[in-house]
Amino acid sequence: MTQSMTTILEVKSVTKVFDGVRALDNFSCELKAGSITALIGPNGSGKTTLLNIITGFLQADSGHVFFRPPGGGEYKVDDLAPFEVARLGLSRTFQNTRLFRQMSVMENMLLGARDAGGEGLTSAILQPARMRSHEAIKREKAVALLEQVGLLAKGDGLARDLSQGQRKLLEIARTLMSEVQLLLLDEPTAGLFPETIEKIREIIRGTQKVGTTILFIEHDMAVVRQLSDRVIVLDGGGKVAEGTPDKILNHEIISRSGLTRGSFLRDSK
Amino acid sequence: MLRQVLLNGLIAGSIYALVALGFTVIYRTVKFFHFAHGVVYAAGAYLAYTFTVLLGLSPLLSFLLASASAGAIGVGIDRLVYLPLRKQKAPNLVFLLASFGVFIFLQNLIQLIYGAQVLSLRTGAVHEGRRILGAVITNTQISILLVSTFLCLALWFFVQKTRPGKAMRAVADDPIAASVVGIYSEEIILISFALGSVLAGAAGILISLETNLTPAMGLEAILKGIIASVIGGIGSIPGAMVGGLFLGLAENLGIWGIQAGWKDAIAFGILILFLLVRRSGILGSKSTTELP
Amino acid sequence: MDYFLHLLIITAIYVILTLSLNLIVGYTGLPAFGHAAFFAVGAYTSSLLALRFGVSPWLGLLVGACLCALLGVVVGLPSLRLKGDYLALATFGSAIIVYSVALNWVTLTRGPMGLPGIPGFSIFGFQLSAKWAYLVLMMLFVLFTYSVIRRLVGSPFGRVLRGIREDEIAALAMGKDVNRYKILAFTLGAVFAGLAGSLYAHYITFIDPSTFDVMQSINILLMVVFGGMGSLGGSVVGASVLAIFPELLRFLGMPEAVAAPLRQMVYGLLLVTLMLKRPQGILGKYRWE
Repeated sequence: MTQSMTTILEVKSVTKVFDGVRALDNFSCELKAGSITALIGPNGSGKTTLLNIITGFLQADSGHVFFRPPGGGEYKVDDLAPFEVARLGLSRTFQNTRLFRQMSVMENMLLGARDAGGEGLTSAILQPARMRSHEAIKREKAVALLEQVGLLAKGDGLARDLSQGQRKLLEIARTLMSEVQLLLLDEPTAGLFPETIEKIREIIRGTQKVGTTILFIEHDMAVVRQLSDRVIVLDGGGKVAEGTPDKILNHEIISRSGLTRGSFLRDSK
Repeated sequence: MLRQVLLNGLIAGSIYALVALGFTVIYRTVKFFHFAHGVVYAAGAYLAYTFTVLLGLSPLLSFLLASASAGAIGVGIDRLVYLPLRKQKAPNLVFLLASFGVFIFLQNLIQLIYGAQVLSLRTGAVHEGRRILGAVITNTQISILLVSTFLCLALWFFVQKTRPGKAMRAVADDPIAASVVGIYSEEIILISFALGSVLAGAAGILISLETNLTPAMGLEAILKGIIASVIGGIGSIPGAMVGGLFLGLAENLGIWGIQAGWKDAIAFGILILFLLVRRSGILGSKSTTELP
Repeated sequence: MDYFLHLLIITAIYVILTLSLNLIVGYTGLPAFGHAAFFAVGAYTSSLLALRFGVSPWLGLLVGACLCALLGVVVGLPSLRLKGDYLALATFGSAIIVYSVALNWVTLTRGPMGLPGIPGFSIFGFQLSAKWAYLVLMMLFVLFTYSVIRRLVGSPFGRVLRGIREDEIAALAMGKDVNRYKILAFTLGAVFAGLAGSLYAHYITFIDPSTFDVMQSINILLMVVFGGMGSLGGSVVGASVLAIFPELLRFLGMPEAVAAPLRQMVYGLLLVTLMLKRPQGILGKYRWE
């Protein structure tokens, strides 16, 4: 399934302590370009913390994160601000969806476009034709994506008026407005109806087809089994296990580390 | 002379500490800047004036009545303005703006009723002070020091040792956990406003024993109070006292060696520095920043 | 008639001030409680240049705007680290510092005595003196301010500002250099407020620190909030109503000693009522969330 064997992301011995609690304890992992990896573990095991460190929102106390895009180059994330990390091609969603609530669905999408310029002050004042054509391109792409997730009709509505499922869809669609090298999803299917979960799975599969590497945090083991090439298990800030979904999800370590039996049962059907 | 300056600083500082203390007690439970605290301070002074000069009541009775009334005004502000906002789950900035609105309204109400000219609470001749430890201090100033020190300690004792006080601390630290064990925020908030506002009123009266009353006296007071609270550590009760004393001493020591008019600018300069460099202040604890 | 024109001129000044503050507060969502600082710097800069060095008011206008741009950067810096109440406090503080300078640096500003005899504008050698001429001038600047700001907020740049207002972290995650935009918002707002300051000074020919005190910042903020955050039309309406209203009181024939505090009481009451009932203002679309 993974085309290339190159490592696109290397997390090296990362430790993060909050008020005496070790959110991440000497954690290391590698993501191969084009792979889909699921990050699972009980609540509070450090998954979101890891995501925050990878995307530059949090500084690790020790250790490093290296991003090596297929196009070439190596970047040490520790030295970068979150917006710089995003510009390298790392897009993410959040555990509690972060939308621009009082702006329209369409405007949310347009803001997601990172690559084309036109958002500068000089463009705003001079309004060159080039900026206008960029806007048109962004809009076209937004329409296509919104149609794909079934939100085109809500395009002019406010983001805060969307349902939970629609919000998650919008958040993911928004990440696809730019060229994504590494997509990080924080519980993309949490609290959603099966139809919506199915849609999100489709989207994730779709992005992998164009070569995007994906890392997603999940509690739903069915989704993990259906989507991921590899599973990393996090518990108490440390990597407890790593391997293919089959190997991990049938292993005893899972039940010992306290993952809900509910999802476990759902998975074993 | 240094000792005189230090003494003056102590007296000013004790009043700043009172204001900061009242402000902090309230801040701890509602977590926004109750700017109108300044006008409660002014109201205390003006009510004391009313009772003493206009109604001829005894100084002690005036002091008690006026302070208590200030407490009532503070509670009134909370019930009429902040409580509905809490029910609406309004964001912090809305509270702050509403507080400004209350401040402007009440300050000008005071001006409407009493006029814009300066008034004085001081009756009788100005007595010469006594010499203690090489500095001159008047009886009035002794009273101010004693009363403010007493009030500060009384409040600190209340918060540390008594049950309502401990409940206040619980709510300040963790409102949800507090409600689980049966301590309800609303009652505690009411007590905080009552106590804090009484302190503000008392501070206003005390300062009026030394200086004149103007309708705008509340602005200066609340600004100093906020600065003292932040410097000492926002949300910290001992911090408020430390901050207040620090501010009073620093102002009077004229470390800056510049004329009086620059006091405000410098006080704010220090504030901004603290906000940027060490927002937790001298005694405060580090607050967590927003994370995704 | 003259009085009526004067009223319109003052209203125009406030419209510019309100539009410029709305950019910072209403569109970018930064609680800026010290806007009078820029108003003051614009006014004092061009006044002093004209009085001390005979600099043309037009040039003074430009220099004042540039100085305000710099000050905007400085005042905007705390917004990179502070939020909410604390940022409000810091911006409030910067206004107090500027006011203190105006009041206490007597050798520079003549302190409370103010600066009298500020020359008015002249066009092609003709000194403008008639009120209607100034009104035309002010209206042109109002139009200018309105169109520039409208252009800004309707552009992708403006979209980013609003995004920052809504969710800074999401904006960062989308590759927006949030810090840069915040500073730009402050700078732009400062520049226009500075323009208003210069315009005011050369029209009124006498300025003193009292026009630029703490309450002036709150007044302008009230106009933004009342008219509506994130609504330019709202700023025009809000500024106009609140600038004209106090004058109406005058017609009721109340003595100034009563009218002045009464006017402020209405402002205070208005602010409280707005927060309780309609925090987004009359025409506003955005609320603090």
